Amino acid sequence: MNDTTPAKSVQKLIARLGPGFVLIVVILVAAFMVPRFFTTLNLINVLYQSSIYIVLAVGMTFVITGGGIDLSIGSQVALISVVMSGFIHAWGWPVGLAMVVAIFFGMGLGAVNGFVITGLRMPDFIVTLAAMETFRGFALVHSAGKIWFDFPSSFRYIGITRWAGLPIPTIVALILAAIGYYIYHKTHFGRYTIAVGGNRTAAIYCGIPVSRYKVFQYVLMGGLCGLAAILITSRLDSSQATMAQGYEIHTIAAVIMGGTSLFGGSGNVVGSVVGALILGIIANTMVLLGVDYFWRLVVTGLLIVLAVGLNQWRENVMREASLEAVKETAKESTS
Amino acid sequence: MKKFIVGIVTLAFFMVALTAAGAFELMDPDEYKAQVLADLGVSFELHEEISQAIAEPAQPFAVELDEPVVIGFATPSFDISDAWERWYWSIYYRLEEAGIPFTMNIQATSRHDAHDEQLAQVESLIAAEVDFIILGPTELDAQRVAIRKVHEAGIPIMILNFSRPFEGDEETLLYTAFDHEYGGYLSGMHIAETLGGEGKMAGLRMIPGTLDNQRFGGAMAVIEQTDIEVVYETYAEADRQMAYEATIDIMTAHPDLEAIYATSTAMALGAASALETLGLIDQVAVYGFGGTVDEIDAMLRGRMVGSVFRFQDDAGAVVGEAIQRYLEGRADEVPMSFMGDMVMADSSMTEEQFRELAERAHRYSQVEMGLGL
Repeated sequence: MNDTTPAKSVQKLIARLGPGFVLIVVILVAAFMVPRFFTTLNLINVLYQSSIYIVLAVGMTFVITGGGIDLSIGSQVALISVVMSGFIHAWGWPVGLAMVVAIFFGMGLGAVNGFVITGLRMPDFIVTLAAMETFRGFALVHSAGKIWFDFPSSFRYIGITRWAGLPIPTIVALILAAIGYYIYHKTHFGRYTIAVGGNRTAAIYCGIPVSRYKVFQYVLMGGLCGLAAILITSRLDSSQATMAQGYEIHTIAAVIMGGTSLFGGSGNVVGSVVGALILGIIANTMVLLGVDYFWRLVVTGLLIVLAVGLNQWRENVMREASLEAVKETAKESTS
Repeated sequence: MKKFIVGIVTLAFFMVALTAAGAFELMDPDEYKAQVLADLGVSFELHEEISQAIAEPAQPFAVELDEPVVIGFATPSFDISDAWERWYWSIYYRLEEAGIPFTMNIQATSRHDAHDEQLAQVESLIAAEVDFIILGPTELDAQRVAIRKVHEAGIPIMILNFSRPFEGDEETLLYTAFDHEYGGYLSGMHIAETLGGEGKMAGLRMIPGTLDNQRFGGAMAVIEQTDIEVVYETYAEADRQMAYEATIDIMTAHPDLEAIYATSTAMALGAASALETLGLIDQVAVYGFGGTVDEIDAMLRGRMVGSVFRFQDDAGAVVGEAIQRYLEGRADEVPMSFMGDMVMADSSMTEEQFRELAERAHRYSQVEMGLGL
């Protein structure tokens, strides 16, 4: 018999909404507690603040779904940023050229990670942990103690301009998320990523070039680090070797909150975007509420656990619903 | 009386330093301050007037407000030293002393180089429509965008921990700090005197950036004129444990080292602990920066030789005074830059001498944090 009690229906609705449900709850709570939350200025701020993490979260969704993890993204962003700044400031390169080189440089850094992981058969965690230190070290070698600032207006344009009311970094992030969604669901790359992360051995037996796709995932992540470096440098109008620390934790948190499995094989690009927005709104609301700094850390940590817990619960509800549907189908076919 | 004590300590140090190290050319503090202020286009007279005003209790607030003033206070992390907390309390009690009703929205970044996090916090404070913003920038050059955004929003902003405005900034109400370069300069003079102008020393630096460059560069401006060799310098991120480990390594490589100059309290204390562990605390003179409570304690116990002592509450009290003058329509009576007083403190001073310094330095913050002695 199909259980259609109101409680079950609500459960299913919440489960179907997924991380979107958490986002709605967070927005409602923020709007209820902070009268100024729904001002245009503040909403634009939230979008600005979340854009960089959306870009990184899209890349990280592929990496984690593929069974990996990239702890070096903060260092990559810093290294790419200072190198690009050097091109623009010290070498006088045209801004467009420097930005293109920044993205390719990022892809190169990602390729290094990918080749070391697959070539030396080392765990992703260890390789990217080492890369985190190495890339940060190179950034410091390049620009220790130096802050690059006062970029050309054509470069700053990206960070400060709005099109149709939306900041350019947000537009870039949303377009990228749409492309990421398409790649994830509609291309071989996306499907192979899921296959590799879900069962690597099975993927090999199916003839999927696992190593190649692993490298591709890290190259994509690196390229997006390049894009994030452009966006953050343009937004801050400054660059420093010590910047972007902790980006990896924030990004991984957004991805996991969004419903991607930390163990690979299952991901959600839209969920990652939602995860980044949830973290952005939480941080913004804490400031608006004037929550004490130390308590802010406590509250943020607890909210992340709550959001991930809700997500876990949602997955269980969905799994139960699927099982019920299978049982129903089986009953119908036997009767 | 308090001015007199400061004057005597400063003068004594300079006389000894100039006599012992005649080869070094050190400016008189007032001369130095006047020159820096002149370079910044700030009236020395106005600077001294407000300096005198904050040495006295606040005047009663002369305006009737409908609602309390809302102040956004964004700092680059609270755990670097006790300075930020003292500045907060000195602002708080100065405003309270004047009778200004206010509330504060306090923010801090997770790291003191989290530039984008601080920009986001400032944007949120603007959205919260606060009346004033007090910003302790993660780095001044990295927060130009944030400061410009505050200007665009028409909110008066005061910058803590940087005394020199960035180029083109003419709208900030006040920059207040203890000039890091000059503090480094004072430290360099003391190190040169202690080592007799020759020997080996090492540097423990914070995080690459303007602040550290100024503190370290100021000392090096003196050291480079001597026969003292800086055998090693490294960044220890203002972290006690990193400084401890770095010191162990440095002493292994250079057992004949005679001095370590650390550009922050935590690192100086880490270095002192390492030297105690190695049994070399009497061989190596440890210098810190800031004259914080922990450093004073270390100097009294002979674990450290010297540190630049800052009259911490001055930097906060002047913010309170600036807010009062602004609200009273006297914004033109606020100098754009304020440089707090500093003196060189060392292990030859007695507890009583430290107490006299601390009574002035922590006159507001002592209510919550004590004198620190």
